[in-house]
Amino acid sequence: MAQYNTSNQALMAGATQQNMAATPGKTGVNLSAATGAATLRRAKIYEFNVGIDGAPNSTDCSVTWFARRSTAIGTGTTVTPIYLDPGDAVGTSTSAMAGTVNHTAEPTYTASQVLWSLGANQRASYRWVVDPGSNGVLIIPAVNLSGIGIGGFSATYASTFIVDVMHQDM
Amino acid sequence: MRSRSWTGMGTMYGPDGETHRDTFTCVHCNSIRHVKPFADFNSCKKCFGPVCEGCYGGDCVPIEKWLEAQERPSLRRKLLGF
Repeated sequence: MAQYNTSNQALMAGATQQNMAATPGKTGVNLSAATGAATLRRAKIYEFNVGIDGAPNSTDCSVTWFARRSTAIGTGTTVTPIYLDPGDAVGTSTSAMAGTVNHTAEPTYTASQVLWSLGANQRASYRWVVDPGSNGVLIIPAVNLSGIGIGGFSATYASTFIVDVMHQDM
Repeated sequence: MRSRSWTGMGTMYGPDGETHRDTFTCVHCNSIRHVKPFADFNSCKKCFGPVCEGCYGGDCVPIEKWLEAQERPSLRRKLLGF
């Protein structure tokens, strides 16, 4: 299956990146199955990268990153996931996932379904990737508007950040 | 790690260099957990898959079963033509 990249970085999103905020924070990328009942499909996230791209705060501080399951996409900029292999056949170059980035209103998150969280220094960035052939991917169910949001929060750092997600339709 | 089938790698890049950590994905709740090299981790007594501390000792509901339960209503609507 075709593989895709979705990012909230301004070059892809074509919109102003949101600044990090205090808890509950800001979601950088929300991927959701939102293309209608006829084409609903599962997707799997096999890699994501998070980090700040603004000037670090003069006060050394932490950023808490998270990945959570969501049931509604909130308000943000809609982006089309970019297929990674230009040789993919027509028809597979469009992901069944809808990408919403740089949220001004947070997605609706399911309580207690935090798939990943990490406290890190503001100057650190992080990459998670599943081992080749591993089943350990994050799976988005084929349910309308159901998805996974990745973002972060910080009490002190208040500039822009990047979330970059690699995913594959199932 | 004993099982390679639910594993991944987390890498932290900072001013002091890179730090790598093995991860596994819980077979029940699909969450990512960091583990120390060669460390043991909890296994489900029924499906023998790696589980996180929150799922350890609980009912065995593999992520596939959870996904099917989530998708059942929309699948039913699709089959009925709604």
